[in-house]
Amino acid sequence: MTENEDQRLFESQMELLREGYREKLGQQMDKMTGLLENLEKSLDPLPALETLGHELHKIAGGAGIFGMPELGKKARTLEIQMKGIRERAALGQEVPVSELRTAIGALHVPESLPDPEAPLTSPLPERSSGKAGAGDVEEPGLLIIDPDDKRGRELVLALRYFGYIPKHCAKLSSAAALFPQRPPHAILLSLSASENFFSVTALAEEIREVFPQPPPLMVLSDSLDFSTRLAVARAGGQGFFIRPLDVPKVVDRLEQLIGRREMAPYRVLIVDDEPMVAEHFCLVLQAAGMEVQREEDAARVLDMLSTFRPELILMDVHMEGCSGTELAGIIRMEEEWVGIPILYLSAESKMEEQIRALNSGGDDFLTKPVDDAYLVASVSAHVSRARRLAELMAKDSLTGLLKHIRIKEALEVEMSRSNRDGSTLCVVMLDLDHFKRVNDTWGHATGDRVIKALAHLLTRRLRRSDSIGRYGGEEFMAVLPGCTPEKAEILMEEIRKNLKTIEFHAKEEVFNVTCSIGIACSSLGSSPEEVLQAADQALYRAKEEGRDRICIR
Amino acid sequence: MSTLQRIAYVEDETDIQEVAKMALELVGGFSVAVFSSGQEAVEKMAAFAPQLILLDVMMPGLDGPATLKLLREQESLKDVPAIFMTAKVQTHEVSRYKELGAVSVIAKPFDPMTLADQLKGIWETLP
Repeated sequence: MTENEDQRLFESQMELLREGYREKLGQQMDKMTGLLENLEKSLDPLPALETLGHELHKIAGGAGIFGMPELGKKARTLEIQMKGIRERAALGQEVPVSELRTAIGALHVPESLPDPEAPLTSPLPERSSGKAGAGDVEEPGLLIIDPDDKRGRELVLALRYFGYIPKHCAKLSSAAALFPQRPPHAILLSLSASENFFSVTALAEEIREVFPQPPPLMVLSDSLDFSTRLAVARAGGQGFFIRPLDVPKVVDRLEQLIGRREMAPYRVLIVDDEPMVAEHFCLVLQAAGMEVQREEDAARVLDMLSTFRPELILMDVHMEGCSGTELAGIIRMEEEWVGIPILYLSAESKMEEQIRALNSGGDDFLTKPVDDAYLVASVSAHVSRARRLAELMAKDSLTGLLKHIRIKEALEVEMSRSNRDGSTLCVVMLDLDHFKRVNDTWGHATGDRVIKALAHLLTRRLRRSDSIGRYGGEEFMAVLPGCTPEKAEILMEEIRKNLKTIEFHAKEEVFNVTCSIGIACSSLGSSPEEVLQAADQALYRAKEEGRDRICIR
Repeated sequence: MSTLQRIAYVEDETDIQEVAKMALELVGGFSVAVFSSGQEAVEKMAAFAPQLILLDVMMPGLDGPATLKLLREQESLKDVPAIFMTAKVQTHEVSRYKELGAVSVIAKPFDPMTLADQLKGIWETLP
């Protein structure tokens, strides 16, 4: 046979094989459907899950070879997720049969099988262990003191939109009763023109009497005069605003003063082949409020890095098979982990040994036995600095939200997490309506204020575990792990309504803005790109249908 | 070094067996013996006297690494270069497979058109 003949023979045989494989795929799908039926009836789901996993593995390996790479990839994703489902089932947790059916139904065999009925993006029902949509963040209390009742109430309403709990009273003396449990996060003191000649020291002292540890004070006034400003400064005032009040500006200052949401716990990975030692460090760091995972096998550390995504690695220098310094070398080879702090732990007290270890990619050296307090302090210091640096690099300077690339990374991280624990995740795309008009009419500085106001609304209303990013100019993206589409809609509906009611002041005029929102939910077998695309399409539909609304995919 | 001719291939999936066998025979001109399980390979492979062993990693019963270990116990197969085929190719796994005595790892899904060339390439780098 000549080479050409060989080639033709190969191609024709390949075609035959492809056809045969496609037919067999149909049978495999039927088999999986049958397994799912059994799964619902059987008392022990593990054997069926095992076989399902094996079938998926076969498709994952085979489909790509027979010219169906997309199907192969999808099967691979599901195969990995099956592992988690099997592990949870072994612990006695319920098997998400209907979701599995949807996901397996969505395995699309090109050309030979009809389109699956169930769409890939159909949402998973809520899990009992799922987190609440909002509310695991404590909302900051604000004390508003305004002798003018109507004005005070208006300010309460305006600030509520931003997720604060403002309470109004006419006099400072009645404020204590409004905050019996804990003092407010900030005090907003509204002055009438006639009250501007108050006694400076008296005010500061009065506040201290009511709240022994005075919260930040902001003053709203009609008057611009210097004596009032001085009085406010002497009373410890940290903000001064002239009426008519520009609420987003006040919120901007409030956010700076009382800080953003609470910090997520530090994530630390301990690599030590002595379980007792690792356990001890683990307990000490956990007691300090950190999230800690242990890995005894150096070969699995790279995997752990990508799944757990620690912010610091605590590593024994002397381990069997692969030493700490060698492992550090391997970690530093991965571009992604060049910056992660690595702390060595060792009984090594020789200076030159320590120096050698530090030269091989470590950041610090702790000598065993390590004092518990010193360990916590050292880990905290390294993580907080690394976090600050990462934040500076990751965040958009105007809004303090994640930059485009980082929010997409956050989506990938959260997707892999939700794939592991079997929870759902929602992606929200939000775009300001007719934003160009705002910029054109009132200038870019005003436009920036609108962007910031929306950023504040989002950070205030969403949970600590949610990631929020500025996706483009006036486009925002949020990743809500463990959230159902229903909850995401309620949450975003609130933000949509609140944004609408905020009055922006510019050039003696008052205007409002609206936004359009698209929401999509992950399901078994979906990839980050697919969910993102679905959210984007939902947003597009919201725009098409007339803006100022939410669409869900 | 001699020319590569005889390849032993251990794979439980019949579809993949067929396509790989065809790709290696038609495109590469090799002579291929297929074994459907680790057990079968352990029993029969020595008689074929392969120059190169190609092993799927994930198989029911004896998996690829376990099969290779048993093959290595046979005098005639002790030094035959082996290549694993797997979907999970990660840096540290490659090093683990190499520790087990594999000379290389081929990612699944492989491309039937280039599989033979890939093997030839690996063969040429061997001492």
